[in-house]
Amino acid sequence: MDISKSVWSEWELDVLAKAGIPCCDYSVSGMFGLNGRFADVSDITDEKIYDIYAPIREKADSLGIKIPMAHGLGDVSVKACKGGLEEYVKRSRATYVAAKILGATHIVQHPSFKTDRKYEIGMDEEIEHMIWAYGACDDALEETGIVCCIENMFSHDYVQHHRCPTNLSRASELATVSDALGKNFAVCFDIGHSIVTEDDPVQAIYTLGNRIACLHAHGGDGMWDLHQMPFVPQGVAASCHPIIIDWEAVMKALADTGYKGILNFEVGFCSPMPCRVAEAKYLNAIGKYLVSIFDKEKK
Amino acid sequence: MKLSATASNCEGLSRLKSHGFDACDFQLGWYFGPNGPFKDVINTDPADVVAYFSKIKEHADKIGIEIFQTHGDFSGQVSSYPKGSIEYVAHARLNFYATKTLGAKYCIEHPYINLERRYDENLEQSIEEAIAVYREYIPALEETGVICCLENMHHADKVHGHRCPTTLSRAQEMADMCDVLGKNFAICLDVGHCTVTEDDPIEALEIIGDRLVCLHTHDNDGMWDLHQFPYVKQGVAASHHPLVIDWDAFMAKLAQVGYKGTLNFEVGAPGPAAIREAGYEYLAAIGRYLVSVYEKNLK
Repeated sequence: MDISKSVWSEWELDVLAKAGIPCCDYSVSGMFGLNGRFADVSDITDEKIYDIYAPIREKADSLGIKIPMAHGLGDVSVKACKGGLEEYVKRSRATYVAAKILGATHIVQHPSFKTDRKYEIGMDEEIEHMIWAYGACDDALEETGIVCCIENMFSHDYVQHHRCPTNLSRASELATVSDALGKNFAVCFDIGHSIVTEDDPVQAIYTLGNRIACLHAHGGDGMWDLHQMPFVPQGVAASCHPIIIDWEAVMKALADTGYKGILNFEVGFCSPMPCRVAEAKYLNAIGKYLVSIFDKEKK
Repeated sequence: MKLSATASNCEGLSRLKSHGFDACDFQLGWYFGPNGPFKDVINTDPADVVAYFSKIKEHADKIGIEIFQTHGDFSGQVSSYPKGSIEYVAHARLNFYATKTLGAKYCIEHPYINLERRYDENLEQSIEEAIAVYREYIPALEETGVICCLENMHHADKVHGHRCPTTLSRAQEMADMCDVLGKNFAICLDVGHCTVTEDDPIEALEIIGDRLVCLHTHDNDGMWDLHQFPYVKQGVAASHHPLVIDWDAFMAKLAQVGYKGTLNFEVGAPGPAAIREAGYEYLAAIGRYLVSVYEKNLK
């Protein structure tokens, strides 16, 4: 199991190389989002995508870093696209083309939202909407050979003032939607999101089984989506919430369910620039420890 | 400015040294606690303490690490000492002998905390009680030549479910008490405690000035005393509390007030043993960066 870190900018590849992290999840989300370089969707062409991502791929290759997964559209719903479903599909396709140029086989794409869903309110309608929106991207996935990974998300409960479940938060919902979508889709399980929605990541892994193709691994306090490194000492979760991440149990569950992907940490740098190689090395050491648990449990 | 972190035995000292730390804050708690070699503090001969800690000092000298400060074992709650002042003064006295033997000048002792003191309730009474306890240390401080450092503490606000100010939380209270106690006393500012009591650590430096001789440096979410590495991403503080630690500004202010002590992290590397060394490596990198900010601001 290779260790990986999410990357949002090209310079991060150098840091990863110095820290010995062999893989990354490269985000193309901002580029093709509604406020990105291609805010005007008519501006998107395959040639332009190539011109942007081919040099990044070249750089990653020269540093010996593989890009098995990319992060596609984030907060883009069909309703937010002026051009409706057609624009949504065009933006989605652009992320798949970029992912392919980067050498990725999988792309993580947040679900489209029809409403501002919280908890189970309007669940059936939202499931139908997600299947419709993701399903509309099937041809583009077929064309590019990329597998689209649906991800468990969260919303905000303004009454209780913390994060709460929404589209795909529950493992059973991820499984339902993934199964309905078919072979060009799989699941990216976000371990940190599962605790802010009070879902047990270990139980979720057993529920999802071999639908999980990739991971967003990160820690948090059970209240906020902090994208911290695993093992950061927590206060709030211990006192208010039942769920903190038992990382050893997570790795055992992944081994038990035959997970074959990489261990990708969706963790951003938080230290000042001169400390970042050391920060990445620390993350790499955490990764090696977790992979050793996985390997032990696999036998 | 030397880089320091906490250690409690020879192994800990060697670990710090191997990661580039020049100094340490030696934790005395275990040695004088119920499982330590000097649990019967009242009947312990200081000569035995001197003989015991001489070996640790020898090790420190051999590996080239300075024990700049120690942390005494007084919990701050007199109720933990059934034999009353004879017992906690005996603790402090032996702490000072250990400190002197280890070659340190400063020993940090928590103030006596009146459990009825939250915010400014029972303020005057709690100050008098804390002064009375600290004064009982003066003969032992005179005997040993050690300086006792007052530390800002916190208490629990059970109504609002978070930590709150108590004895010595406020910088002005620390400065005033230090002045009343006289030449055998100075101040250790706990940077992380400042934020859980909603005190601004930078403002505190301004008020404390040259009374400040040592530091407990660590981070948290502004709610709980988490003793995290600096720069850990926070959630709660950003939404509920005004205070997050501006580390660059803090280091610049230390330089401006003429601080001459070490940059001491009161932080252990969290998580399983397998990742601790990498954790200390990262902590040292953060330390080197912060020291560079301090040095840049020295005039």
